[in-house]
Amino acid sequence: MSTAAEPIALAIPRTVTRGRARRNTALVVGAVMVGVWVLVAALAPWIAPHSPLDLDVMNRLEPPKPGHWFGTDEVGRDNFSRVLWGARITIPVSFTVIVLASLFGAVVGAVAGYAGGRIDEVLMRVVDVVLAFPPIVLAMAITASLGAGLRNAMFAILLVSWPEVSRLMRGQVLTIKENDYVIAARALGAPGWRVVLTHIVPNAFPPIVVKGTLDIGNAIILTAALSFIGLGALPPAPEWGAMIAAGQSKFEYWWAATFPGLAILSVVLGFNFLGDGLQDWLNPRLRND
Amino acid sequence: MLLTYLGRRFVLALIALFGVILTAFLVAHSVPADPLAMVLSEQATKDPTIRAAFIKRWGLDRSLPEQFFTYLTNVLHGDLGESFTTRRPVLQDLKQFLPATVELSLAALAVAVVFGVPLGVWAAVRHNRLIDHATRAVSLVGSASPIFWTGLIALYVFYYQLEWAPGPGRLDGHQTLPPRITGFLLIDSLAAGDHELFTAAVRHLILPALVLGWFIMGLIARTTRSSLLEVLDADYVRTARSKGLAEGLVVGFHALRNALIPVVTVIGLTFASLLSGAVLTETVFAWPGIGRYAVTASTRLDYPAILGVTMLTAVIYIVVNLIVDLLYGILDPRIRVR
Repeated sequence: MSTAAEPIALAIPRTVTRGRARRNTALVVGAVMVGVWVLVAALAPWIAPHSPLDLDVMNRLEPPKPGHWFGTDEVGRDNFSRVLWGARITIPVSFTVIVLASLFGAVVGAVAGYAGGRIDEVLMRVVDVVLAFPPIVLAMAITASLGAGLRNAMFAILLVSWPEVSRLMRGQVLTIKENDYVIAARALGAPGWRVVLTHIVPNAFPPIVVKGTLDIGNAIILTAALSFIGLGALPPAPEWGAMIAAGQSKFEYWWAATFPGLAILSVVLGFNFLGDGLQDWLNPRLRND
Repeated sequence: MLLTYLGRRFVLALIALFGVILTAFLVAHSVPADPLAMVLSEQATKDPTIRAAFIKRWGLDRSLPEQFFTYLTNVLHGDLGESFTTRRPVLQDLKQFLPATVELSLAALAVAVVFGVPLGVWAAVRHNRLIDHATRAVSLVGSASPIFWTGLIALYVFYYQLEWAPGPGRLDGHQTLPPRITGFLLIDSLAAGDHELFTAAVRHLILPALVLGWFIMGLIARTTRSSLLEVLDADYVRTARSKGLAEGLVVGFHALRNALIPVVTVIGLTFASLLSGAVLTETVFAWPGIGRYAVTASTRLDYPAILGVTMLTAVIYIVVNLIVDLLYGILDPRIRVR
């Protein structure tokens, strides 16, 4: 990355390079944080010192100490191992949900933006309606109706996550479709779907990727929140939100809720940094400055 | 021009409201089980006369569009069904629990604005200096922490360890609610002339309001910052400076007034985050508002109650944003020309 930025840096004012350097730090920091968590998720079975599910009732609610770095929970399970295993649930779940939500949202937004007129009006009113609900409240209602569980929670998060992507994609398409190369393609008689797929979508995608990265952070928090309430991951799954719920109101056993919360905070912060950094890296306007 | 703008906004809000009711109807319909068994008690489900009355009331023997029409009519008449945990009309429950949520949300919003706007101004004036980065860090961490966890940590530190704050709830354990006039505890306790109760209510409000307010403060600070930075580049600000006006006056008098217009919009938009946050904050702080009501309802599969809260929060969001948009149109005439 830095090698690519070097030659351009000579041509642009120092304030801009300084800004970019700071944001590239965000990209690097974010990539490292997310990378570490992805590794943890992949390697949890090998690096976790204990099983996340094995009970040890003789060692219930032990404070952090060597062997149990994050203490043990109310049935003696090792919190450190559970936090590591939790990454195996949270990261794939939120990644899958956001990829699907972004694809769906992007298709809706592209259709609305390219077709315009009545189709646009109808699709955008649907987007307005979904956005009027506080995400957690709508997700709660959907999950409660379908039944508690991680799969239904994922479906609910997907349903509340796509509309903002649609709005963004629609705006992108509206701008891009006025470009000369799009007008030229249309004048040459290219069918609408080909214009959208080969000329508009590739150019509209970078902001969607940035938003998707930031949305993964939101999805992680939503998943944890639904599990915290009792609608997401079901016990005894080592899900972070559920672990926080198990540790709430047991103030003398502070470690039970603290460490899963720190796990959420760090992984979400990682995705936020990554999204911020990507925004700068993928923004062609800044690169060609 | 102004009237067309207002009219269009109003029609859009009405369409959104209609969509909200339709969504609630569809969610209720997605319940994969006998709707009567879900909504009526076990005994009532077996009673043929109650079954018949219920089927007639919600039109369950008719086609889906007809059912929706019945549902729509009932909702517009304020009939949201009965909660089967409290055994009361959902609307009555919502009326009881809403003031606590509004009190908490407004207090949180006050916290967010009182700290967020000055922080944003400070960050913009000291652009790219330490305070700017610190503000950025605060808002990044704020938006990355799950609010139910922040609430628990705050309770642990300020209630359990330091004993600065009272425990969860709106009042101390031995206190009883004052006679209900508005449902807002701060107002009702004052109206009852009970200063001890008022003090307790304020003390109980502070911690949850800080937790919820911190959650949206970052957003308000960032908007104020970027909006002020843009305005500080404007010609009239340069003119004010070149006249030799003191920097404090330039920022406070010329720039801030215009910079705050987008902040008004953001406050409207943060209302969804505010209500989302309130749901979880109420759960952690045992705050008897509609959020905790919804959480309890959803874990007990009390559909009429959940859908009531879902609809109410969406309606609040739509109304608040309509007001914000109208205000915006009045504050900034350029918006109307579209």
